[in-house]
Amino acid sequence: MRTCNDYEILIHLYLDGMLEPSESHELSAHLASCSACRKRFEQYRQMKEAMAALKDEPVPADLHDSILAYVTERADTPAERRPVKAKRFPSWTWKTAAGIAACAVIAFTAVHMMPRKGSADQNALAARAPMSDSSCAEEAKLSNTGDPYKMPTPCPEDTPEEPAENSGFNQKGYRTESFDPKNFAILTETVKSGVLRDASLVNGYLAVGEEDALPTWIDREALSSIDETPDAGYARVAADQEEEWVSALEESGFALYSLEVGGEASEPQSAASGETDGAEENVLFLFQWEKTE
Amino acid sequence: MHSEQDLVRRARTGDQAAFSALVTAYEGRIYMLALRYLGNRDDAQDAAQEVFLRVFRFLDGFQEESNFSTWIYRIAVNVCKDLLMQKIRRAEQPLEQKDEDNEDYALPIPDERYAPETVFEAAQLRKSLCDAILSLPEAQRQIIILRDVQGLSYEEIGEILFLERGTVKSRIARARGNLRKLLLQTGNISAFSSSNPAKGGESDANLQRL
Repeated sequence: MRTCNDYEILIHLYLDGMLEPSESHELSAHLASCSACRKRFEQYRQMKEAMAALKDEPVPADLHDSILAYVTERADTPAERRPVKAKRFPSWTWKTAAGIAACAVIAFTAVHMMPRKGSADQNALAARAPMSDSSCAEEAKLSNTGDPYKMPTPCPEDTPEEPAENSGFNQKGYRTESFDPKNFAILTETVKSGVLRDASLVNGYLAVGEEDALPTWIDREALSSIDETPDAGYARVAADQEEEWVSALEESGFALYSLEVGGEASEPQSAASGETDGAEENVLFLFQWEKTE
Repeated sequence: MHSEQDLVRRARTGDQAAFSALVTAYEGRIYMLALRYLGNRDDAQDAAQEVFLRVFRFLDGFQEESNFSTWIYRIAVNVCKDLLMQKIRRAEQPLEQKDEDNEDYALPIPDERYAPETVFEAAQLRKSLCDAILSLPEAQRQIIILRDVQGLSYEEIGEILFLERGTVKSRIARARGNLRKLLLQTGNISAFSSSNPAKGGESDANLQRL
């Protein structure tokens, strides 16, 4: 026996033309005898009509031209259609990484190996992009045992470093191995399968949005501090595809920084409240890559 | 006449006319989605521009076997999400609304000018509806725009938002349920009280169509 709440679902399906004939009859019979549902039905019908009418509004006269001008201004030639962040990773870095490939290298390795004065900040960013305060940098430094200016010492066991606990961010430290360009195809497939949103392969690079296409909840100032970081990229994937994506990325040997979980709900306090339908949550990765050939 | 697939292919090779034709084909829909999502015309135009820039930039990675329309809608939703977040940040006014399914969304202040019994009035309803859409939790907002304003099917919506069919169904129901409540609060949807014979008659008439 259906309740009025059940019939409400049927009302929606009916209005969307998705109801089986037998269910339509059932709904019809119920509406004939239930004035509350009849009222509700009429309200929903009226509302749906009004919603459909909302698209009948004139578009700005200059819409078309403004779009083309905007696009032209920012992407004049096909050759420039490459992400700003897709700079080539210095080859020495990967060679060094290959030297210690026998050992699992934690995700922060590549950053550690960079002899840059901004290393600590970069670690902080890798740990959690949306925050850029100095305490964050301190914490990141502490949570990683290595000296940022020194080569990481190979770890004796397969022990990925414990992800640093911090305020609500679901942060994980994925380990990675040396980069193997032939595995780039795996990543390519991952992109093609649509797991990555807003991502594509451009000129042999994995492009995940341009700088101005950054998810806005990322602290841009913090991010600008890694502008000199070779080939830092980011990706936003649906939470239910995280595993698939991570394994593909790891298989291809990408240095992978897991930043956090949460997409638009990614402020620290709301990242934990994940009691939703589950599918729409996003995961953000920061990773580094090398060109195919 | 060119098929969409053909246009996409040509646009990819740098054919400007083809790209422009794609813009023509989708600009209205994308603009309207953004307008309902963001609530004002300036932002909607900004969003439309950004959507087509991303289309241009990522066209290389677009899979021909997938649906261009699904792809561009997905980009549009992401652009709107980003712009909205940007706006919220700039205004530094944390909205009450939280993510999907949290019923704790910000309700508009009831407008006393409209008594609950007020008869349906098109312009009023339109305005209230737009406001009500903007006060929905974002996940409900995007799905209801895609379904009821854009008229996309459950399947298309599932593909665009990466949602299971069951989730699409239940979220649409929740979004409409919340919209109805919001409209009743502002008195912009008629209450159809059973004591009103005229309204009852209309309802019966609709019933006949079932």
